[in-house]
Amino acid sequence: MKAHRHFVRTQIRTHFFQKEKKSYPFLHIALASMLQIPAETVTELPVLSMTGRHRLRVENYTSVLTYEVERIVLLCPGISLIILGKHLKIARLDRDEILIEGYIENIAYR
Amino acid sequence: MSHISNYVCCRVTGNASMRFVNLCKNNGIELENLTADADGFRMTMRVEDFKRLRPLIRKTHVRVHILNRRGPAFFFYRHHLRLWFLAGMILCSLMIWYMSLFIWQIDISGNSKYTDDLILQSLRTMNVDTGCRKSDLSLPSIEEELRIIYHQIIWVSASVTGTRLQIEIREGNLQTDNENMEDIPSNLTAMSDATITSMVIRHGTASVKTGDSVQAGDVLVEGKVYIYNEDETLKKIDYTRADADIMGDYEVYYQKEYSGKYMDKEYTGATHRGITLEFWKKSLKLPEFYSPGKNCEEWTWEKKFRLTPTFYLPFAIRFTDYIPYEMNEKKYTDEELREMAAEDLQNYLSELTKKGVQIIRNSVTILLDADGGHAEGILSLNGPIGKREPIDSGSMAAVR
Repeated sequence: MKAHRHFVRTQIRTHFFQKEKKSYPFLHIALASMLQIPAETVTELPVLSMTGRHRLRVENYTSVLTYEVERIVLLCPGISLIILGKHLKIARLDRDEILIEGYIENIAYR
Repeated sequence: MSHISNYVCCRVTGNASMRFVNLCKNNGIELENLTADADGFRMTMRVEDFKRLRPLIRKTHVRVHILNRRGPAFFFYRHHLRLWFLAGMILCSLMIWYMSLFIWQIDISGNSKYTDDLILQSLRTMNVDTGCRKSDLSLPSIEEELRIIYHQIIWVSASVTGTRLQIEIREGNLQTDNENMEDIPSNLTAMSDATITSMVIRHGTASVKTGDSVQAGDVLVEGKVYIYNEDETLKKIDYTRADADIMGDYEVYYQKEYSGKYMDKEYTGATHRGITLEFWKKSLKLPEFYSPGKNCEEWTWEKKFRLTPTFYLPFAIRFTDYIPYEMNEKKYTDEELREMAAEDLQNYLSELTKKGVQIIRNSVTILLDADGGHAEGILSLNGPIGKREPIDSGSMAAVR
């Protein structure tokens, strides 16, 4: 709970917008940190694993909204993920994760 | 995706192709290599997943075109008319594996006193022959048996590489019974009538001296050592092996006859070849449309099949070449006869020289006649004239 309080004070107040604060699962994160388990197991937040800037793995996503050679938009619970780059390709797509390869220039949240 | 799974590469076109991709994801259909095309997507999926696409296609009204099919199922279907070829390959591999369990070639090296056939015969008594199983071979017992059977073999190494049994032998110069007889007491006697020119005695007592004329059989050096008392009376006689270098002048009568006529082989027609196929110990001779006549040379050689230098197979092919010829009677010219006689004489003299004999005078003449010729004459030589003769044990006892 102490770590959660520190997180709320430093991150939420400074960076999160008002609208986001309502939908972000802070309580679940607090519970996860109290039980010392990874937050993604109790929340449905997307987990991004990046290798260099050529490979990105996203877990816990809902669907692919847009797929273009220079832009991929993923819909995740509570968040939209925008991946910008060149020669982007979806190497693997299944129920749980998506693997994107290519030259990744930017990753943005919406 | 595993390399041994069956998968298809297809192209999805339509307005709702993105929705189709999301529906695949929600239905647990795994897509790989998803790339965006001008009017759709290209993707790879398993055959089992492709079979589940029908309801999704109906829902999204997309069109799916199969571009490529990969996997063992498609490979076997494409070559289903060539299954016998595959079966033949498998059968051939099994046969080669089965043949590799046996010995098909036995090589023997390092032998000079004992022939290959002799050693192979001994191996057959140990049940080691071409066609025997490798698992039935006991290499240490083969080595031991060969050393026991052949006393002059001092080292044997038997090894199996591929289907070849390699036997390496080292022979030694062990003393035979005959060589042991050199220790028994013996005299040196004259080989022929001669005049002694030099004597160097190492063991024994000389019976003659330099300048004496001896006849064949005369004792030159006795294998006895006389031991005297202080008052010069004979104490005893010790018998030993006489050893000396005795050189003398002697004569040798040289004679050789030569016939003026000889039979010459003339090869007449073309060579005909016969082929015999061999499998292990069975052979099949291919029909020949040629019957070898009375005068015909037969050359036979065998070629054994092998996959590698050590992997021999039990197949061989034997070639037999028939070369017909005619025997014609020809006559030597005088010049040829003289050359032959001179060459023979020269060879004889060089052999004598190698034995340490010096040629003092050569009065051999070559005479030709109607039927041929002959070379005869007397050679005066100077060389060793001693010959070893064992002393009779009875005479030794009588003297003692």
